[in-house]
Amino acid sequence: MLDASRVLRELDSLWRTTGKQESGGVLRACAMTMLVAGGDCDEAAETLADLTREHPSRLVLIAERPGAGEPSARANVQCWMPFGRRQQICSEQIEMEAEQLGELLPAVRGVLVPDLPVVLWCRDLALAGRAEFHELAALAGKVIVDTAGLADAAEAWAVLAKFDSGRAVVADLAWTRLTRWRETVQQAFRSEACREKLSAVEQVQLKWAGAGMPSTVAYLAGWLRWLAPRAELDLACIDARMPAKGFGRIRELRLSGPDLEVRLRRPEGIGVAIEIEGLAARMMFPRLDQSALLREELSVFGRDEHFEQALERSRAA
Amino acid sequence: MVQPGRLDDPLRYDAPVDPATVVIFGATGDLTRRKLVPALFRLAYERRLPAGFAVVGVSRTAMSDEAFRERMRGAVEEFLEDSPFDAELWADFARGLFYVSGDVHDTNLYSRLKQKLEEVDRERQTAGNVLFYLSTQPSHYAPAARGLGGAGLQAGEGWRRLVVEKPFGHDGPSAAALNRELREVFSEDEIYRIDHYLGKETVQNILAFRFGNGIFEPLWNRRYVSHVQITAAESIGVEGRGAYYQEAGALRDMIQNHLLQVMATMAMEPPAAYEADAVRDERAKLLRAIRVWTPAEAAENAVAGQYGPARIGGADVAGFRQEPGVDPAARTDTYAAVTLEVDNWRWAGVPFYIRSGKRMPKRVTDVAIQFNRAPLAMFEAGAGRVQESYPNLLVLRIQPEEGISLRFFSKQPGSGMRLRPVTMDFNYGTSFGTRSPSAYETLLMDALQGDATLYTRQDMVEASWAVVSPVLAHWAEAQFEFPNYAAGTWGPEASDQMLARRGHTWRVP
Ligand SMILES: NC(=O)c1ccc[n+]([C@@H]2O[C@H](COP(=O)([O-])OP(=O)(O)OC[C@H]3O[C@@H](n4cnc5c(N)ncnc54)[C@H](OP(=O)(O)O)[C@@H]3O)[C@@H](O)[C@H]2O)c1
Repeated sequence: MLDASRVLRELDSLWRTTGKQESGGVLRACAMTMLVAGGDCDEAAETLADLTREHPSRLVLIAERPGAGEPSARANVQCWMPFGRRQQICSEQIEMEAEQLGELLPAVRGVLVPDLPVVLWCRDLALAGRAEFHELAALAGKVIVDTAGLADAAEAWAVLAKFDSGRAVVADLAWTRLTRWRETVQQAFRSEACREKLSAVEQVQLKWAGAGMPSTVAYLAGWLRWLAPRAELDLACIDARMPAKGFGRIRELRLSGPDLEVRLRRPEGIGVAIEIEGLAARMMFPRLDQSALLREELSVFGRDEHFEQALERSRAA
Repeated sequence: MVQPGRLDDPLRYDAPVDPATVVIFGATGDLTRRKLVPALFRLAYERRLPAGFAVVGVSRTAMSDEAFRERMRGAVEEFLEDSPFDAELWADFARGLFYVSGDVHDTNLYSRLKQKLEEVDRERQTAGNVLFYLSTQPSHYAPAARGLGGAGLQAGEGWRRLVVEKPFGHDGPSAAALNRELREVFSEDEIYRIDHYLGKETVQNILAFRFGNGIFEPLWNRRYVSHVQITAAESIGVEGRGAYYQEAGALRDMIQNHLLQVMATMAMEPPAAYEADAVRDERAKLLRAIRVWTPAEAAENAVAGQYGPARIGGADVAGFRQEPGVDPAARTDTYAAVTLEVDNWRWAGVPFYIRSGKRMPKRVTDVAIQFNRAPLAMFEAGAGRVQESYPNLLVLRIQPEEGISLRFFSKQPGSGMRLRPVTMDFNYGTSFGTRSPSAYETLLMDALQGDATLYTRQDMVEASWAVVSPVLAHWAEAQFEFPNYAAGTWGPEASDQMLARRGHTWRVP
């Protein structure tokens, strides 16, 4: 059996040697345990490498591999030199592997950092159907999934429904992708005069590219329903072709009323054109990668009312 | 029907910032180059500035908009922290930079500025909102405000705000006079007096530490605290700013403003809400509760120092009087230490020792709260009264290694009950490996959002001048044997004696 104490001892000795090697000493940084399950471990570790600065954690990569043999674990320490400092900051990483997820659970329980939050990033939605995965999820206060890759929102709701009974807060990176759209809508209505006109919004139009109705679009529609409960919502896929990865599928969002017209358009690439009452401005929506999405999601603690409201309304629609 | 509150999602993005123009007086100066424009660019980089945004620089040097943009580009390339310079983003940002030349005393400047603001407002859609930032010599603050008023620039279609740099007066009466002049043109809630210490993340963290946790506040009073030491030491000298510094000195330059604000943050009562006036009321109350010394008490409770030449690390370091631009007989305090007492129920009888100096052994700013000893030293039958020499100490480190540490006793390994002091450390870097916004980013953003929580109010300025005035008055008459400490030391002996009289010693930070 894989023994958590052995892994922790290994980590401890790694810390000692790292400390001796570095003349300026090292700073051991840890604000949570980050569990990662499913998908390619190396890819996940790479995605998270960018993040350890803002969200230093004990990273536990959990892999299931047919033919893996006896459950095993490897520990290592990742260090970096922050800008303008002399002392390295280091965080720790444990890779665990077994044929069956269930075999790793006792060791995972043993290596959690005491008294700090636990976040689980689930990179394979198929795991959601398995009992041992739910045991893993029960260790976490927050579970992060990404339903944006699913062809249709209905599939996403089916996955999320499997988490409903858990005690963890569930976050969906498909929702995180919408922050800048929502923020841009807020900014479009920033002036007092504009905010007054908000009550006059009668029609909301949402257009996207790529066939089907992905969860991202459904979430935005749900949020708009919450924002403007009485407005008429018009949804349309305007281009069946799938946009390049990382550029998002939403093409246009329009809020209008008798005395108001706000239009956000994202024809191609990273620019977004904003038109408010005929006045035009441009904004950058750079490519979003998973690191950027996780970075945002990890700084949100506890329940997220906007997400819950949007989810409730998009499921109901 | 839209629910406006639902547009805001503070978990994920900031409250909207109004479109605005920032007018910087002193646009070719050091502060603009090092801090202000890099901070604004950094905010643009983080997409925190509104689309309708512009900067208008003002100073005497004649220059086109284009030349000003080039100059600012150089400044940003040199002083932008923690992020690469993005030429494309710069090009976008630079389109919003403009320049007007003129002398603050010349009324024509303001009519040209007015015209420029109208053009900029049309071109950049800044909704008539203007933030005036006075980053020029202090003697220009009042003329600039008068000039703005004369041209009717203090009011307009949108809001108008005035940010004033330090120093705010050089004593109580001059601060009051400056305030009167500014108030003839701007109202109190339009005036933002900057104290960049309050913008520092770690100073704000003192509030989080005190009022976000339930376990420290019960100890935060005279029953448990023996005394408090606030230190702001710099290892550098005056670095070419000798002429300015010789008029100011450490008491005016650091203690009257920054360190008294830090003390107020550390010692104030909990505000009912985290709102500008609630927080500022408590800070102001604390400052007013500091006892104002009589002339005799001021002599006892303050020490002035000035560094002399020394050899540090094999190099000769000039004394203050040998620095360029400094009068060889200057009486400036490059070191100041004061003992203060707070006359309220929480702090009566607890001395607050504050010191600040240049050419100290290292650069450090911290607040140390020393607790009373355990009532009985039950483990100390033998020699070595270790518990007496190392009472519990809580240190709030502001710079450079931001964090918090607590010193307590632990049993030494081995037989017997011998104790040893150890520290438990929280380092900001341990939990947040990321960069914190600079004080100027925080403060500029707050001013654009109309949030004055971290700005000082006139009553706070007056109260803090009242605290240092008796000391200044005493020093004006006193005979000093300057220099009285060598560069690279922790200050004059008289400062140690000041603490010794109350049975305390300065810690080595
Ligand atoms: N530097 C810092 O790190 C720092 C830190 C805290 C506070 N402060 C405060 O910030 C303010 C500015 O400091 P600084 O170091 O940037 O000063 P500075 O480098 O001396 O700059 C002064 C600026 O004012 C302009 N100026 C001078 N006389 C003028 C006049 N008659 N009319 C119009 N413009 C005039 C100068 O440009 P022209 O010569 O082209 O006119 C220059 O742009 C001061 O109040 C200082 O106390 C500075």
